[in-house]
Amino acid sequence: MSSIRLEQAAALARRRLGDAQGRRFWRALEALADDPGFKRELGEALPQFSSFAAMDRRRFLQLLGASLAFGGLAACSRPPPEQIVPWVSEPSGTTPDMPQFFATTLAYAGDVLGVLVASHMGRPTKIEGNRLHPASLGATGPVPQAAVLELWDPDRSKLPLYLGKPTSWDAFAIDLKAWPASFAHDGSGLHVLSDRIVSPTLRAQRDRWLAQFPRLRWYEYAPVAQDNAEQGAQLAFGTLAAPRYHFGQADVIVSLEADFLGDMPGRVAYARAFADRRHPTAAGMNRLYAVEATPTLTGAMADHRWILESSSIAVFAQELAQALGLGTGAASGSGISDRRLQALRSDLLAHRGRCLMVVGESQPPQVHALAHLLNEKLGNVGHTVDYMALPDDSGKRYALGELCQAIARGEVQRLVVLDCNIAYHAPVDLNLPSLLKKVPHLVHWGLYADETAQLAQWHLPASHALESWSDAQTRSGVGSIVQPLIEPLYQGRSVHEFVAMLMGDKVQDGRSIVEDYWRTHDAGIDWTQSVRAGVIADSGKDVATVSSRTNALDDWSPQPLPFGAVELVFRPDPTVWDGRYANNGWLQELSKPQTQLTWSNAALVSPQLAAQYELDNGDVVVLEHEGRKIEAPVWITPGQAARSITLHLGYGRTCAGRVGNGLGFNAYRLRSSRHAWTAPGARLQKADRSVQLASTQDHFDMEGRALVRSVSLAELIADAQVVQKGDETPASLYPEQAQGEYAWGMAIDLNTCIGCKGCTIACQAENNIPVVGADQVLREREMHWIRVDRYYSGPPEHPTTHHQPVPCMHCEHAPCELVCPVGATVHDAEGLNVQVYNRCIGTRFCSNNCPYKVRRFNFLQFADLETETLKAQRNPEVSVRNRGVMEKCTYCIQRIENAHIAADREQRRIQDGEVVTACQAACPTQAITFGDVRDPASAVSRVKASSRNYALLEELNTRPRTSYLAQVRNPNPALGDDA
Amino acid sequence: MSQIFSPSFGLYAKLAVFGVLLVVVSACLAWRSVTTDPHRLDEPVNQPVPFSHKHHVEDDGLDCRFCHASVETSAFAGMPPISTCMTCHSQLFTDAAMLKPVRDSWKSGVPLHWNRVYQLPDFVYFNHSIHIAKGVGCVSCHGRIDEMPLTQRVVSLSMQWCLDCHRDPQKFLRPREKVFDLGWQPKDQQRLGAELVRAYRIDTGRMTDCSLCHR
Amino acid sequence: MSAAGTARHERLLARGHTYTSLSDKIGKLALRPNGTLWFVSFACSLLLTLLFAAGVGELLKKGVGIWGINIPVAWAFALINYVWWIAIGMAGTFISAALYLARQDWRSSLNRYAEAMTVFAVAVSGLFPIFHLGRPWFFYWVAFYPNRMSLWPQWRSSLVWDFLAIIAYLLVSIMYWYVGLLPDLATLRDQARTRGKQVFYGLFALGWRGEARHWKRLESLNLVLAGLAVPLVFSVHSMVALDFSEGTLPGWHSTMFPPFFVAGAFFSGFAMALVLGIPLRRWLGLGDIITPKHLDNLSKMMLAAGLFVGYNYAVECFMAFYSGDPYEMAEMKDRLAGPYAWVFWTVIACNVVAIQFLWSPRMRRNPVALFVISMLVLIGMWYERFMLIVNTLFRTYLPSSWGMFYPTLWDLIFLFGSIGLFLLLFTLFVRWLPIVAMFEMRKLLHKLQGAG
Repeated sequence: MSSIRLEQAAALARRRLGDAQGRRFWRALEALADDPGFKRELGEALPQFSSFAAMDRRRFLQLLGASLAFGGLAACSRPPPEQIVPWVSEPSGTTPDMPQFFATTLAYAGDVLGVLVASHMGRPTKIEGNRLHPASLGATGPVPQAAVLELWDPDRSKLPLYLGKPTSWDAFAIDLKAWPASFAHDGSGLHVLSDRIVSPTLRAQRDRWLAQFPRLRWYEYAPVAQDNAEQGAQLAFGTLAAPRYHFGQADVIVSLEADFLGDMPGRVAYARAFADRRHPTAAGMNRLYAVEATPTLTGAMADHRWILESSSIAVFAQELAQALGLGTGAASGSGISDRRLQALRSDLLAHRGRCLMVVGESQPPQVHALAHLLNEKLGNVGHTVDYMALPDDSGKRYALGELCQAIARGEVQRLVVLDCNIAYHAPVDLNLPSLLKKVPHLVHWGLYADETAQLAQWHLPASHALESWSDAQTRSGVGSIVQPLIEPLYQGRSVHEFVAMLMGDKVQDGRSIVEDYWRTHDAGIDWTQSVRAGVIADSGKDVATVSSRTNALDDWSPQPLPFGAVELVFRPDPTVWDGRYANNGWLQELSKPQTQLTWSNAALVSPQLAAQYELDNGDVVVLEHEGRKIEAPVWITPGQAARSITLHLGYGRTCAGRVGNGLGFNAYRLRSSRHAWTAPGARLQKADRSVQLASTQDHFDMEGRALVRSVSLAELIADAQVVQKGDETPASLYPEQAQGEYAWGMAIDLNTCIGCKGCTIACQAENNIPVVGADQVLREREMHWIRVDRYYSGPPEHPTTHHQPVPCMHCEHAPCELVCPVGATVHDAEGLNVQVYNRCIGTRFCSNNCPYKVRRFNFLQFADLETETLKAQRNPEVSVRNRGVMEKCTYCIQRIENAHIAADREQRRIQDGEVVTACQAACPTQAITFGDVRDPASAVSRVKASSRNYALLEELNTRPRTSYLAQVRNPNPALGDDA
Repeated sequence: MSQIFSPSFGLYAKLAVFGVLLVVVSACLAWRSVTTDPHRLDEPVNQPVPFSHKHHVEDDGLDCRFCHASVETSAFAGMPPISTCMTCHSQLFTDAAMLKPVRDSWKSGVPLHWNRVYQLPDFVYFNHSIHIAKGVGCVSCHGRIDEMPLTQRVVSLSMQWCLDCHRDPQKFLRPREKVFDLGWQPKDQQRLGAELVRAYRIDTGRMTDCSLCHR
Repeated sequence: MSAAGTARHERLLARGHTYTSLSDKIGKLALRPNGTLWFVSFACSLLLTLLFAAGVGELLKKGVGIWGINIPVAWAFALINYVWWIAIGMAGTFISAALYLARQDWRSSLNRYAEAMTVFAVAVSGLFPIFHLGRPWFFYWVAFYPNRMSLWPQWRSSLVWDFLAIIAYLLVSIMYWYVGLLPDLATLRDQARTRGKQVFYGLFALGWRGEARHWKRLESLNLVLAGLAVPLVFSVHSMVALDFSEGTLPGWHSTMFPPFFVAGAFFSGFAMALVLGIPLRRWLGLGDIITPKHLDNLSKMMLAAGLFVGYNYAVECFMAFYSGDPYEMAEMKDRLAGPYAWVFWTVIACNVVAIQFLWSPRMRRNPVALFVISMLVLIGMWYERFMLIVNTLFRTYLPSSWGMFYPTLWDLIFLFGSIGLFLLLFTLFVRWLPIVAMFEMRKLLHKLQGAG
């Protein structure tokens, strides 16, 4: 592969340009463009750039620092002459400026998702869901959206490092020759550690390697995996089987700390299936009971959320089993009232075969086993849940603990770490950082030169998922191909290429490795079709028949959390997960669904505990468990179990990169192998300092204003109009807005919105929304165009949580338009309230006058106009805003305009569903509908016709085009007020 | 005591004031004229190769779309890859010194850098295909490019200029089949234009919407 | 009537002045060499002005983000200062123009420096609407002029009209001030002994020779400008008020704002007139020209305006609850007892309570007391604007977007820097120009003698 990459090219450009400014900058730039040497290097480095430069400077010169053309400077110097750089010979199938979509697969945050990636003339700019992929069904959610930013992250590892010094792959190849000498012929002494393998090809490579070296040890470790679930299945069935849930079939769902909407593998498809059963009809609507210690997305959606310390949930599970007549020993004292228990029992029995028990990874294996037994007893197996044999038997993979022993015994000659940051996230009792220093030869392959890379002799750059060939398999068995969208930007190589290199294979090209695997192992598949569709046809269909062992749980008697004791609860962070996304600005700035915190984690404490210890938000406490101590700021979290403190993993990174270093605190410092998820018997003590935590929302009470309307199913059935009672659009003195051919509008169903904030990130990616940083968020200057507000109702100890996505309402009588002196925000013929950046002078009156406060202002130069790779990430269809300019949601005007042009060219109407906004596309539950509200047949019109439809702050007579569908809860009538 | 000012001082004072005003105004005007456009109007722009539309269109009779292939399908009219040049110039003028950069580019694979003549600000989103589809002739913006030895800009490209047409398109529209015919002259533009606006279903209601060009 | 005459005589102008003595006394102030006191005040104000310049530099370099403003509180100090200054600018024109039309003799000794105060205050205030913009270099887009975009400003926005109002007001008050200066500049030219000063004053005197013709034209021009200025006084501050009441926010959306703002403007304007007048009187020994009677009249005006402002506070509060609008009521509750309640109560203390002392004639003639009260009023009026702007914005319709405003160092720099700039201009004025209208004083003297 060519050795020069974008960074070098840009660096070269910068070096040659020196500190030229204004006019001089442009002269220098032209001189540079005429410099044959630079031309050649750039041409070689970035064919895709010369190609999209062929369109206009927006793509080409921006990449060479055209930033100075914008803003004030442009006003006082002649605009820079642009250049057109056409292809030398044009590749087939490229239309300028129309994005092409390629199907690929992302393994992210313990899950696998089939996606389509939008590529603008060779630059991946946006991730969309893949309708054909069963795990996506066209939706994405937050983390996958951020993959493009990860691809273009300037802090990614670029070159191989030897003892921290840049070197080359060739140097490593030479070093590789010396390897066999260092370990025996059977491979003993050679150890490999990887993340949990989701790639069948990699498994095959591993197996071949093991066949070659029987004594080679291959370990798999991920701080957030499905170990308890797997052991639970092992316990219940005696075989390694993974449950596949069918929420669509379930009328009653009981979740024991299972956040199947938030962090469980398969979450996107699960969320869709769950939401499809939330439509408020007497027969159709499901009922969700959630028992959990810390608020989760699933808990927020629950009709009954029962708060219980994590340690006590096992007891409750056994109580329930007992009540349902499953003889697994007596239990009591969980803290859930008998009334609730009986109500739940009868509800489950009334729905045999149509109910479902789901258990979260944070519960011990026995609880998982118990749930399997209960599901079987309730006749759910085969209806709401079935099982598949796990693709991998545990015989081949060893646990991290065994690696530590091996190192201690001095058996480990060479340790190859495949993108697994154990120096940071391994259980603290294993004491790995110091052990790793004992390893004679430590080789690290990864996307970043992270904490582990610091301890390694060799660090080798990985190519990003969007740069490499691979494949992945979901936990439900759906296989799909990973194909590259772009040549590796740096010198990264894919895991397959790397392993092939280590094994000394002849074939070391990623594509051939993957293709060979599928052609040999699964002769049936149509390779081209699988790549194009992004999913291997009818994979993940096979069902394993399992039979439970009734005596599985005989000698098991869980104990509730002792009275007065405090437990720590560890959870993956909602945005940065186990820490691997710490350097991703989009995810850092995305406020965590349950706390609205950004840029940091916190120790989530219940209001009761806060009162007991006189804690206020941001107060630092010392947490102690098994003699280990950390300091952490607290965040008072309504709905948190009284005596459990939740710590989110993934912060306190030291070698994450410029964005992620030194944020929050490292919860792994308290996380031991024995207490991976729940650590009872912790002590906390107030330290006499406090820090400011950047939250995007400070007030969570609706102040008696009907902002999020929520009714119970019973109420709705009793009176269909209950939601709209008292609503009437006031008369107006103003003339109606001009009536165009279309009238764009949006409806957001608060009943299916799970508050995952996928819409926020999707919007950020689509509309070039800048990241502002923690200090600016503290100043309340975050830039998100669509935010998800969260309100609580009821007592803070056990509140009801309401989510409300708030984009621009596109009011027909828009208060903002009235006050803008220069007409920078005006109405267009199709009812869009448009913001004209280049006309805006920044009086900010529009924002003051906006009742919804959805307008965002560039108080400073927020858009990064220096970092070259970030420019390549941007969507060329959307202007990059500079400082002093107001911006806001446009209903993705660029998508509307493109559809318009396509339709007008052919003199046809825009079809319903032809324009899909970024937020709508990303939404896992299809809570957002968009379209032409004047066409009564359009999807959005049909949604707005619902009796649950209402306008936010209708009394102000702003006539919003965005409206909401009220939330409906379906509590168990037997429980009455005791929800 | 003596007079402070000479009798004629009043005149000088007035002249001075007037002069200052003059300087300020002319300075402003000069600044505007310098900073509006990258290239001057009606002034040929230097190119690595002195490409002549006159020769290729008028003399050789090439169609616009031969080189600007994507003009009907995409926002960008399309700049011909060197390969397109070489289709002819591998046989014709194979040793013309003027074409050396083209041949070098073809050999070395380093693309040519043409200087943009029609240049819009980054916040303006112009789309060729829709204008072609609605019967806006090339000549309306590019002038008689078929008579230009060296390409030059013939219109101001100011927003005012765009609006002149967007406010009443019938003044400029022509039948689709005449779009690429640079010499074509309408008989009764007003009548024809009005018909075409109907025929091509042009929604004049939104033609001056900001959102049409600014995103 | 002689008794009454002498009584008035004593009050409006100390006994024993002749035409010459008046001209000499006032002329000397401009022509004599610099005093230390002047240097000190000049240096201080210059220092603050440089600070202001630094602030502007930083602002243009980084953007308005250097201030504490945010979403929801997108307006703060810049707009507060703007309204505060332009309000201070009101009283000057009112004193000189309105009282002139009303034939109030006592204005003669005050109008010159009051007008100067107006011009400088308006000039300073005019800077803020420009610098508060996200892209100040495009401020002229608010004006209508032929442009290559063929766009108009957005006429429904009060900001467009406000822009016109400020410009018109600034131009007229400058003209009115300058025209009034002409005869005195001529006097100074003639009194000047050095060539440089003769030329300087001579240039600006525009060849005034005191012919009857000149006087006649001056009189009529003064009358016309006064006639123009008085309506502008009201229009400009009504426009400022509409900048807010056009907004659909509880706390802004109110029809009573224009009269409310005009009253507030006079209030702070008279306060500033006193704050400037009292030291001038003391340090430049103008006690015989700016007499207790003047202070008395000014403070009466201030009291009247203050009472009206107080009445407005009461009405605002009443209307909020009378309206029954939950958002209006919530805003008012926050004003009375919210996080910014201390601002409201400061306002009440300064603008309502403090001025009650002015009922007593002794207070009204006690310079020190008056100075303190006027200072309090100026502070109170600044906080009133803080209350109007920040307390309205920080909590609006959606609780999710509620937030607080915390000023930064740059906010303070812009506030005190602008005070410095104002004082700098004023000190220069005191140094180089006649701070009392000589020819008007001579007219007054003539009138009084005629009466006596």
